[in-house]
Amino acid sequence: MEWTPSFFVHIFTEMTKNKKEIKEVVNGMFSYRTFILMMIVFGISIFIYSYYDNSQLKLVKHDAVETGVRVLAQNATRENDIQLLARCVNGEARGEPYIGQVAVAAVILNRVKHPSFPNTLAGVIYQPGAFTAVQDGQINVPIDPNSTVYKACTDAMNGWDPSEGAIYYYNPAKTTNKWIYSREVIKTIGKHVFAK
Amino acid sequence: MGIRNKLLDFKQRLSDRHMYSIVLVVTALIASAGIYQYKRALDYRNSVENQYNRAFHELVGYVENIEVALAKGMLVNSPRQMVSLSSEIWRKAAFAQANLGQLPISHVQLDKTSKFLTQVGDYTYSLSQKAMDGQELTDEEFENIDKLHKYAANLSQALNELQAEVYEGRIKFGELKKKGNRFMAQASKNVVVSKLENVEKEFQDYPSLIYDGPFSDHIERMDPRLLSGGSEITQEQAKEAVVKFLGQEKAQNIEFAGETNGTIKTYNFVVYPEGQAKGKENRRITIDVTKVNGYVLSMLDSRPVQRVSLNIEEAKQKAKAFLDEKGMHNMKESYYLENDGIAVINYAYVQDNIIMYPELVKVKVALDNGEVVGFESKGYIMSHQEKRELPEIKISQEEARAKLNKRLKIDSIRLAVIPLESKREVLCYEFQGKYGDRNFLIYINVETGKEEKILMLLETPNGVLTM
Repeated sequence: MEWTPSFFVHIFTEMTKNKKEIKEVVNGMFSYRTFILMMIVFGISIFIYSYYDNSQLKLVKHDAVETGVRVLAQNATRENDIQLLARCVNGEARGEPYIGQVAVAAVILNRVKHPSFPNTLAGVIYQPGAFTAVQDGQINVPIDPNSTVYKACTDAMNGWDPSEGAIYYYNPAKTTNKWIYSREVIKTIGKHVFAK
Repeated sequence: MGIRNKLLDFKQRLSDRHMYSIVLVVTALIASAGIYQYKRALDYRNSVENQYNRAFHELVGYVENIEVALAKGMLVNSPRQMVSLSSEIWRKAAFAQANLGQLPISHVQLDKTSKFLTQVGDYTYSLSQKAMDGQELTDEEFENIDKLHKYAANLSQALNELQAEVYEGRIKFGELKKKGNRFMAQASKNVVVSKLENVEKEFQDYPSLIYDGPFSDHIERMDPRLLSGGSEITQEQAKEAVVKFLGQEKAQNIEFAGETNGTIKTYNFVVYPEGQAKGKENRRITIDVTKVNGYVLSMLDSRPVQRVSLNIEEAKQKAKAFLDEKGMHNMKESYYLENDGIAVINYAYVQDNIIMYPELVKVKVALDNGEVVGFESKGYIMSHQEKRELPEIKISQEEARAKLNKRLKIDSIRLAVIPLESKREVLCYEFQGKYGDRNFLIYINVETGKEEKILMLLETPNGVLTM
């Protein structure tokens, strides 16, 4: 007897007709109880899979709708840019003082203007290896426009640059990249050293 | 039932024939789930690998095209030809850069290549602008094109060698990212890195181009005008400047936070008006004072705004009074933005009724009590002059108007100095007008009659923005 889908269908139809008969069919391999258990486990796993897929779908959908509505009401490019910037800064400098968050946002914006980096905000943020927040997926966490990070990014967008033209920053306690130490340091804010 | 009994029971059940089948089924389920996930991961890996390959091959193609076009550039004679050729190079350089940015190679190794591509683009863009005015290229510019061509040729060759390695399967870009198989990744990485480092070395001695295009290197080297010839102050004097700026009442618990070593050198202070606390929640004011002359470069107050009670007009009055008090007279507001109970208002200096857009000051006003919670004066410090030498006006207002597109309905005209990308400043007629239901600003150079800039005004519920 082969484990084809048609076999399962056959068993199901038989099951509805006569319990005893199935018992005879199945008993050759294992007990009726085992069979039911197997079906339950199978069902649960299918349920978990579909739920998992759905929940991911929901997240994306919810996200798009929520920001979409607000964006339409206001200036689309600007709001979208701040949202993207805020997602990156949130992952990079969540524990930093306000001014440090503005500075990190300003570094990202300085990179957009700098010849050595891509010329768009998305290009800079998604540049491979540039930000850990992108690598570990924190970039996908939506940011509330009333949050501090969002405000810090708005300030940076409006032209405040506490980093004074920096295009690099690093945490001396964490960085393993020796090259970064060769850059000229501009200033230190919180745990981050800003350099150009 | 004790644990021991439970275990015994479990063992007994396991030895039962039925239980074996359950374990078998569960194992099969887990295995199939594993296979399913593995397949999915494989799919993703392949699609990522494909993305990298596409980006790389496109990059190679674009760099080849740039090289060829630069070679042609040496032979171009008419400005018209130059326009079409240089805009082609400009466009391809932008694409090449976009693709370069997608490769999974760290920025450090590609720093100079990326810069080269940007500068090729910017330089040819500035050439196309020049050619559009009908000017022919000078010998020096041809020389620059020749130099750029040589570097492009080197880059193109190195990329071609890399491409050969990719085709032979010796390099997989996806492996550069992979952490699991460390040995393999390292081998692949070494090949790519050494190849690229050779290219980068070639760029080591490539001179920073002297040109007026956007993003050029010399921008950073510009000296702040307001600070030239000033004398350096001490940290104590800077602290006094902070007290003077914030007022005795707010300037409590001033803490020195370090120095800034940027274009404008500053002393940095943090002020805790409500007392110093370890936590981050306490209100703090960050303030930077220039080392020369002791001007406040920027100030940011973290105080949240609870209830909005002022409108934008009242906020403008507060901000204006603030600027007058700080000795910044003749400032006129241009644009503003309102967000979360805070208005950010831009001010520009006015001299003889001419608005100086480069001399920009930004003031943040809290809309609950009208307190100034932010201040930024980089533009002002970089380019303020009490009495600016202005060029002679050679084009009359009527002549300038004649240069505008007839479809624009003009609402107002005034004179303004505007900054261009190259940090040049030009005196222009500013025409504000309507086309359809949108407002535009058009700037006509008073000397040459050239249309320097067109801006679109975006009126959002939060204020007016230019694009």
